[in-house]
This record gives sequence, structure tokens and C-alpha cells, in this order.
Amino acid sequence: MYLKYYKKHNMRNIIKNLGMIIILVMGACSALWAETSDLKTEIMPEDLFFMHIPTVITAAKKEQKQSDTTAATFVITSEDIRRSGARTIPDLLRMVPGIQVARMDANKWAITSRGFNGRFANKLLVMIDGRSVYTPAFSGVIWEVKDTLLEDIDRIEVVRGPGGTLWGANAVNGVINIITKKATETQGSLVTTGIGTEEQGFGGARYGGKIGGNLSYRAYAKYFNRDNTETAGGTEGHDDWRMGRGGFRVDWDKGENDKLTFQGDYYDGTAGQRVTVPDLSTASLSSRIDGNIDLSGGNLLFRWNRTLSEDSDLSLQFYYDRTERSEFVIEEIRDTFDIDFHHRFHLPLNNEILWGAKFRFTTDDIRGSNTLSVSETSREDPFFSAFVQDEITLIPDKLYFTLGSKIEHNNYTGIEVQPSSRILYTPNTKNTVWGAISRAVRTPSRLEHTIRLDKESIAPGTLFPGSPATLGVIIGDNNFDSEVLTAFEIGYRTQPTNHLSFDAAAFYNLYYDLLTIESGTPLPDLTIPISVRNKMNGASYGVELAARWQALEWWNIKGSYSYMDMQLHTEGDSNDTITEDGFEDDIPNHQFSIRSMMDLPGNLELDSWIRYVDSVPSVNVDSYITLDARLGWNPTEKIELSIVGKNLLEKRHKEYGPSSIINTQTTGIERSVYASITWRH
Amino acid sequence: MFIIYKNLRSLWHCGWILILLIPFCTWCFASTQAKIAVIFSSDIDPYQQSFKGFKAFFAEESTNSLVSEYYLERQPPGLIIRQILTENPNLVLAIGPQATMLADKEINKIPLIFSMILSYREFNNSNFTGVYLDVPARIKLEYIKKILPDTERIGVIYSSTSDPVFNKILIECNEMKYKLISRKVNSGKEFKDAFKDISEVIDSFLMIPDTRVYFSQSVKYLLLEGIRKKLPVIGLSSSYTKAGAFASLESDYYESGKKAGTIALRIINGTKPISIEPIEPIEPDHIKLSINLLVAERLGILIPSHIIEESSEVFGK
Repeated sequence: MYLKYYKKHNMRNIIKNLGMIIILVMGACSALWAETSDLKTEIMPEDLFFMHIPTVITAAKKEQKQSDTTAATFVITSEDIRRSGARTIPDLLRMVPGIQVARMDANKWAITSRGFNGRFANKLLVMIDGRSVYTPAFSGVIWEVKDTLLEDIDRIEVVRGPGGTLWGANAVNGVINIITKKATETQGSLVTTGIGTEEQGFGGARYGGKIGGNLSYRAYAKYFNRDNTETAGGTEGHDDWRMGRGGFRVDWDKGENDKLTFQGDYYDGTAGQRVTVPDLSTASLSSRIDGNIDLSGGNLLFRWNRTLSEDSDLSLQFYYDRTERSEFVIEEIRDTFDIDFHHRFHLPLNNEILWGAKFRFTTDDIRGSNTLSVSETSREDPFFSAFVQDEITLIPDKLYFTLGSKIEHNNYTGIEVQPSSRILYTPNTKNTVWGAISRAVRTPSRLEHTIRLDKESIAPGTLFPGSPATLGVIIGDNNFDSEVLTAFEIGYRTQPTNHLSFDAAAFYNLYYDLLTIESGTPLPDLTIPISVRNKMNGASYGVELAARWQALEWWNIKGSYSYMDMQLHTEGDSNDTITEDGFEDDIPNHQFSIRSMMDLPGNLELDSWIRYVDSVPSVNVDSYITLDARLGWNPTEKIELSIVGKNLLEKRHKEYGPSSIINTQTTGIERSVYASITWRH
Repeated sequence: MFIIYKNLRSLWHCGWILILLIPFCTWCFASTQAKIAVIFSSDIDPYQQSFKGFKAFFAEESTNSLVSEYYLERQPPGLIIRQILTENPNLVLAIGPQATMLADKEINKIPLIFSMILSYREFNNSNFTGVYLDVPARIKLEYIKKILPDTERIGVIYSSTSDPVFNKILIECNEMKYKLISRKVNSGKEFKDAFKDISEVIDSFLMIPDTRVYFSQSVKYLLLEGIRKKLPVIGLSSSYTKAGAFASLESDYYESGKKAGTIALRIINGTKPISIEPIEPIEPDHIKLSINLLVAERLGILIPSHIIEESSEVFGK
């Protein structure tokens, strides 16, 4: 009976998916028809004469800073994305040294930089085109809704280490900036579609055009349906995931000095999950609930860049973002308004000043459940910040010193200061050495101050002989303060030959006032209140290496390795016996990744990617090695066919454990294969 | 009485005849005006500048012309062709590559003039002549000799798409005793490596119009690396100079339009297009030199003041 239902249900899904893909492809085909009947969008060599070229002579120093930055940076290029075979942004981040990416089930990830992982890892700031996607409700990133058409991503810039001086609070251990291509770079049509064992159907289409000589636009739509993963026992994980998304971007080069961008996205979908909640009324003291998370949201962003002179420019950005999330445990609607201003100019004596100010206003409506509730269902939080940074050229083209600080005010902890000082030395064009000392803070989340969460059931007789079954309840506390980091970093980059380059970074992080959970005295209602406090300090240290080797003209190899460890200690008056070991053992000490990209005769591409991830004892994850492979073929310049195999070495492997806030089931990540076709015109 | 009546009737008839003759006369008058159809590839400023030059030439020559404008951005190509064939103009001026390709393919019996296209394009139609966009290799090399006298080795990156341009540069370099250091690439992906290979052994770099090689990222890379490696880059137009190229040589679009006007007038006066040689930007008033002083300073190049005075556009003052 169940099998019959399952087959019927599955067939309905397949028909629904095929329908969606056909609609997407038809939409794109009509765009293509419109274009093929219209010669004007074909790019001709003559167009190169009239192309607007962004001024680099003023950005030369800046551009130099991107490649010779005073921070541990890694850039995932659009070519890396195309050849990785990855279908999600989190999977792309696996190529970055020092970034820990663990898939929890089909639709959830735990991603962090330099430790403190979790589904809502709270020390990593993520932005898409300058729009923060870090949620203040949980302090973290809800990765299942962070997506776009991967073909439209220009690059993903990852900075490991603190970025608080420029980016503000919560950029403690890293900043990820996903940057999409300008509309001028996505002219014409693109249609992509595919199907596979886990990827049960995906499709995307984009059309870009021009109005007049200076205004470019694009619009895209994508849809995917991913299958359930399996639990260790081989049963379905109830975590299938489907989502549709659409968006647009308009870029207007208004005159020589002004550039305007207007863009937006909308998404809607559902993601399955299996949640276990404490329940003293059952024999097992817990209940398991299979349900869906309904996810929807959208955003609009406007940006104005103005070049004031050869060495001065400013940028003004405004965005509105709405997220809606509804699941069994919690429902959240959040609106965010953000306005951000930057100005760069030069002062005498080789000083380049960058300063800016930001105002953000976020309002939410959070509805809890029997398991989770909040003391304020609706809340409005304004946030102000300003920063200034001075880059001083001590020896032109060789030695730079950068000093700056951000000051911000938030509703939870008041004023926060995040200074940093950085030095960069480039003795010649092939070698760079840098060092930095920075302070960064992680401000409390909305829930850490206002939550009431039934965290765990305590079995009868555990507290004392004959004690009844009791409920551990986390209660948010307004006294919970910011977590603080002082980071010491050094780095070295070298390019011994044109075909070989290395990038190494080492860090020593000192953490203060880290979160602990302190148990109180059992209450008569059979609950134990657990409060959040700042009673843990500690240190972490590690090294991160990245290398690129163009072994042969047709063979490119990229590798990375990272090692890190962490020593934490709770303060004397803390009774938290879990968090210290939990975070210390939450790190895969060693990780490495090797990617090989081969251009073979006959327009074939053969790419493979091997990764090793050390064990994560705190969540009972053994070390694992994965192999992904991709065979691509471009029969014409416009068509690309790919077959991708992922996790080919084993049937399934586990990458992480349940979330600390919402106890979701984690599943095994399965071996999978998919085929795709992409048509660009 | 009868005579008066008869005269009045004759006058009435004459009036009618005159009224009937008006359209005929208008047609006759109009037939002395040249009818010109202009197809624009798009409505961008350089094309409009060229068209302004074309119209200015006709105004200077006091030649009557009736001009119809068609924009590929605004109307389907098929409709434009049908309208032109119905209009049956004396000649068609195609501005830009898309318009030129369309005219070449669809219009056979009407004389055609192309404008703002590259000299290596080939046509099916023998009824075609016009004005090229690109400054010939020899002129570019002569300018390099003038503004960068120390240059001995010139770097070029090209693909199979730009073979004809490259071959011309090769011939001219040999004649002018320059050593040409080149790399042929299959796509822009190979640009960085190709540039790294040659950048250490060249004195200046010459860009050529090739969309397989140059796009926003490769151009940005080239301009930045050029500055870092102290290599003067000769760009395609003043946009490149402004962005960070050392200098660029390009056609003056307005002047180019006037040259197209001279060809149009010859065709209207009865010369067959096949017997009119296409015009290349070789005359000084047809060529614009732009230089970037800030880049020159970064590269450590001192530009003589007469070169600065000669330049049409000077950036980074």
C-alpha cells in the first residue's frame, strides 16, 4: 500500500517537475526565437571598439589588493563553478581551505570558517552582491534559501579570518561575498536543464538584452527538485527539496562616472525535515515529527557608484529583503531595510581613506510552538555603524600599512568597536607577505535573548535517585553579551613560475566571552532552566594552504590543505560540561582537496575532485574521502553537455550531526550521478 | 457669351489638368532628390556621430537627399528589408556590422555603402563599398614608432577569428623591422597564460579586435598587468585609453561618416559601387589618437609635448 502510494506520489512529482522544466525551457526558447530573429544582440568584433571599459588605472592599487590582499582570501571563479559539477553554493565552498562544509541532509548545511560549526554557524558573514544573508534570528545563514543561477555568478570571494572593520559584526571568522555578473556580461540566452539520481530534475533559463547603448538587463528563472537522502539504516530521510526562483538585474552606465544597478529575486519552495522534540508524555521521552519547511522570500537592491575623480569614488546602496519561513517548530517573517554608504579618497602623504556608514532596520514576527517560544513575538531592531580605514603607502609598490576601525550600535549589546591593523610587503611581483591583528565580535541573536526552547528530556533517576523525567529548557537572557575575538594572522603568497603559485596563511585566534549554557536548579514544574552566558574563553590555531599548478597547457591542478585545532576552557563558576568539548571536537583537524581540470581533444573536458575530511568526534562523523568527476563535451560553441558523478567512492557517508537549536535528523550523503545540457546563445 | 463660356470651360479644364499635374510634378521633383535608406545596427553614440558626419557632408555639398532611418533594435530585420525594397532608394547606407550583414544578404539591386565595420569582413554582394572602422596596421606601427621610439618587440594575442588582422600586422612588422611576438589562443580562457608567456619579452602590446580573445575580464586583466609590468598597451579606442591603456588609435567616427558621404555622392552621380575602393582611416583628420598621461607616468614614459598636442584626447592630466 505504502509502495503504491509512494510510486503514485513519486510519479506525480516527476510529472510536476517535467512540467516545470518544460515551462522554463519553453520560456527560454521563446526568448531565443525572439533573439535569432533579431541580429542586434550578436556580439561583433566591432562592438569591442565601443565597449565601456571600467577604469582600472585608479583601481590598480585596489586590484592589486585583491590579489595581494592583507587577508587570507580565496576566489572561486566562474570557471571553477562551471567545472566543479556542484549544483549548490555550499558545495562550491568545499574547495576553499579552512572552510568546513558539512551537508546535514538533502537541504541543510553546516558551514563555518575556522571552527564553531553548526547549522547556524554564527561567526561567518555571508553576502550576495553586498546584501547580507546572515539572519539575526538564529545568528547564522539559512543555506537552503541562498541560491541563484550558478551560471550568473561571477565569483565567490572568501576571506578567512575577521572582517569586522569593514563588514561589521559577525564577520568573526570569515566573510563570503557571492558576486553575480553584471547584466552586460550575461547578454543573450542561456538554457540549462538536467536530471539525475538525486537531482530529480533541474532547469534554468536566462535572457539578457540591452536598451540603448548604456542600459543592460537580464532576467532568470530556475527550478530544481532534489530527492530524499537516506539515513544510516537505508530509510528515506524525509528531506526532499524543491524550489523555484526568479530574478532580474538592470545595469545602467549613466554617463562616464555614474553606474546604477537595480536587481531583485523571489523564491518559493519547500524542504522536508524530520525533527525530534522532547516529549515527557511518551515512553521514549521524545517525539519525531516529519514535516516540511515552507520557504519564500524576495529582495530588491539598488546601488549607485559614482567616480568623483581619478582617485576618489563613492557608493550608495539600499536594499529591502523579506524572508518567510514556516515549519513545525517556528514560523518567522522578517523584513530588513539596509542603507550603506562608502567613500574613498586620497589625502596627502600617500594616505588612501575609505570610510562609510550604514543603517539597518529589521523587523520580525516570530510564532513559536509547544517546543519553542519567544518572549517578544514581534520586534524591531535598528542598527547603526560607521567605519574608517586608512591605507598608508610606506614604500610605493612595496610596503603598505592599513589601520581602521568600525564602531556600531545594536539593540542587544550597545556600542561595539572592531579595529584592525594590517601590513603588506611585496618585495617583488612574485612574492607577498602580509600580517594582521584584528578584533571582531559576534553579537547575540534574537533567539539568544528571547527564546524559550525545550532542549532535552532528562530520563528519570538521572538528576538524583528517584528523580522524575525532567525537561531541560533553554531560556534566553538579555544579559548575554557579544563573543569577542582577537586574531593574529600572517600570510605568504608566491608565484615561482607563471604556471605555479602558492598561498599560505596561519592564524592564532584568542576568543573571549564565548557562549556557554548554564543549568539552573530544577523547578517544581519538572523543568531545569538553562541560561546562555559568556563563560568560556580559549584559542584556536591553524594553517591553510592553497596551490595552483598549470601542469600542462591542457591540464590545470588546484589543491588546498588546512589544519586547525582549538583549546577552550570554561570559567570557574560555569557548570557547562558540554560546550567546551562540543566545539573542540567539532573540527576536522585536517582537510585537503585536489581538483584536476583537463581540456582534452575533441572539445572534451575531464574534471575530477578528491577531498579528504578528518573525523568530527563531537557529532560521531568518521573521516571520509570523496571523489567527484565530470565529463563535459562542447559539440559546438553554444552547447555544453555534462555527466557528473558525485561521492563516487562510497554508497553514502555522514558529514554532520543534528542541529543544536532545532534537532533535525541528519542523513547520509549518497553517491549520485546527473546529466545536464546547457545552451548559450 | 458663348466665347466667354467656352473660355471659362477651358479654364476649368486647365485647372483640372493643373490639379492632376501637381502629384506628377511632385514626383518629378522628388525624383531629382536622392533617396537614401540608412540601417543602424543600434542606436549607440558612435553610429549617430558617423551619421551626423554623413548628413553634414550632404549639407556642405548642398545636395538634396531624402533619408529614411531604420534601426535594427526597433524593427524586425525582415520588415526593414521589405520597407526598403518598397521605398526603392538610390542607395542604402548600413552603419555597423549587423546592418551591413543584413544588407549584404538581403539587398542585391540597390547600391550599398557600409560604414563602421572591420576591414577583414568579406561580402557576397559586389554592389558594396564603404568606409572601414579600423586603422590599418601600418599606420598603427608608424604611430608606435613615433610615441614609443624604444619599442623593438611588439606583442599580439589573437585567435583564428582574427587571422587576417594578425597576418597584416605580421607583414607590416617585418617591413618596419619590428619583432612580432605573438600567441594564438583558442579562447579568452587562455589569455592570461598567453600574456604571461610574452609579457617578459615584449616592449609594448597591441590589441586587435577579436571577441574570442577580448572581453571585459581579459581586457581588465591586460590593462592591469600592463601597468604592473610597465608595458604600454595600445588599445582599440579612447575607452581603453581612459580605462588604463597607454594610448589608442581609432577612426574619427564623424569623419568616417563624411567619407561615406563622398562615396554616396559618387554613387548618386552614377559611379558603380564596384569601381569605388573602400576607404580606410589613413588620413590624419580621419584618425584620433588618445593617450593617458597617468599611465605614462606609471610606466615611466615621457611623452613629448608635440605628441600631447597632436592627441585628440588626453586622459590623466
